[in-house]
Amino acid sequence: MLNGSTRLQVVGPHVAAKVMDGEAIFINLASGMYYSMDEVGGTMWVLLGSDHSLEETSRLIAERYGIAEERAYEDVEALARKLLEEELVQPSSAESAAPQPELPSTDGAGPYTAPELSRYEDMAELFALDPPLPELPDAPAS
Amino acid sequence: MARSSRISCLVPVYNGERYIAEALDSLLAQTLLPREIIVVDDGSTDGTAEIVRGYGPPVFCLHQENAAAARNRGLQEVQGDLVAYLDADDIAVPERIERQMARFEIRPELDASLAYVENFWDDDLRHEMEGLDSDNPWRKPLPGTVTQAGLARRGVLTSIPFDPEIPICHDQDWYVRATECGTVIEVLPEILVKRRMHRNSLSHSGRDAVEQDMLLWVKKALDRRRSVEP
Repeated sequence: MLNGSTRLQVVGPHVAAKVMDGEAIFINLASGMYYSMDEVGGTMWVLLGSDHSLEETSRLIAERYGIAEERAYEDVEALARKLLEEELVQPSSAESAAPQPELPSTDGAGPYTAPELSRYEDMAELFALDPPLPELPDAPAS
Repeated sequence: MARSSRISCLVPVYNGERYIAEALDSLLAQTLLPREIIVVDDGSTDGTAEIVRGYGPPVFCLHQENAAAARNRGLQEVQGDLVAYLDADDIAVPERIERQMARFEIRPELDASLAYVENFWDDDLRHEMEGLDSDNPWRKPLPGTVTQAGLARRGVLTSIPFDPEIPICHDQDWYVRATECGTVIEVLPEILVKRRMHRNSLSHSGRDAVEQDMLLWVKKALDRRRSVEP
């Protein structure tokens, strides 16, 4: 189960994730669904996706947005739970965080709000046309 | 205008010497021949150009790097008002152009006729096909995109250019943008293109590059959607 020391990683190899303009995008090539998270969620994912534990992520989020660490932890844990439910992430065996990554700019950002994970299903057939094949065995050495 | 003279074929290629002759032969064997077949070479370093030159008219070759830019460049050169794409490693079934042309005659409002594609595996990847369950989607026909199996109005293709920032998934990105602006597209439920899976095809190389391309395509689609939401 999740706790403060849990670290996460994307479920490989069929999940792709990236933060662009502060927004986190996930694609699950196995299910054909894709997801987006707003600026706060994007920032949380930059940290979680670079091996920061839930607790480390919460501390940095609390500092960045000037909110109580308890509130940040509650939101980070809820987000992690959603990502797990959607089978986008799994617990990782990493023992420490990567060097702190560059976080999205806060220029123009509004006040802190709990992150939202939005799910979309309208491109499944298009993803199926040219995906890196997730279900195939590795080719034998030639 | 004669039916044939309305149709130009565009075949983008990069280092396609192994398969391009089969692709071109499949276009030259159409029951309704195109007026021209333009191969757009995206900087090949193998014998592709020589093979293409060996054909002569109605096969022509031009050069343009970047796959999306190559597709756009080809459009500047075509003379037909309808454009059929074919990837240089795929094979069009003999009735492909005739079947799709008929759709434009039945539905004058049509902007693009797409068709189904069926994967086939090159010998060096036969183990892949054998490793797939019989119900795996890769063993079933799939609706093809405009550049895989499309016959489309040139005007539609030029007014909705392929996005060079999305070099791999630009055809799926095109489909999304085209439908957003009301383009009339239908998918003919017939297999008109055989799509070759081989070790050098994009699906089999550069997983990271494909994923980065997909992520950018999705991000741009979301940004556009939000920009028109009230």
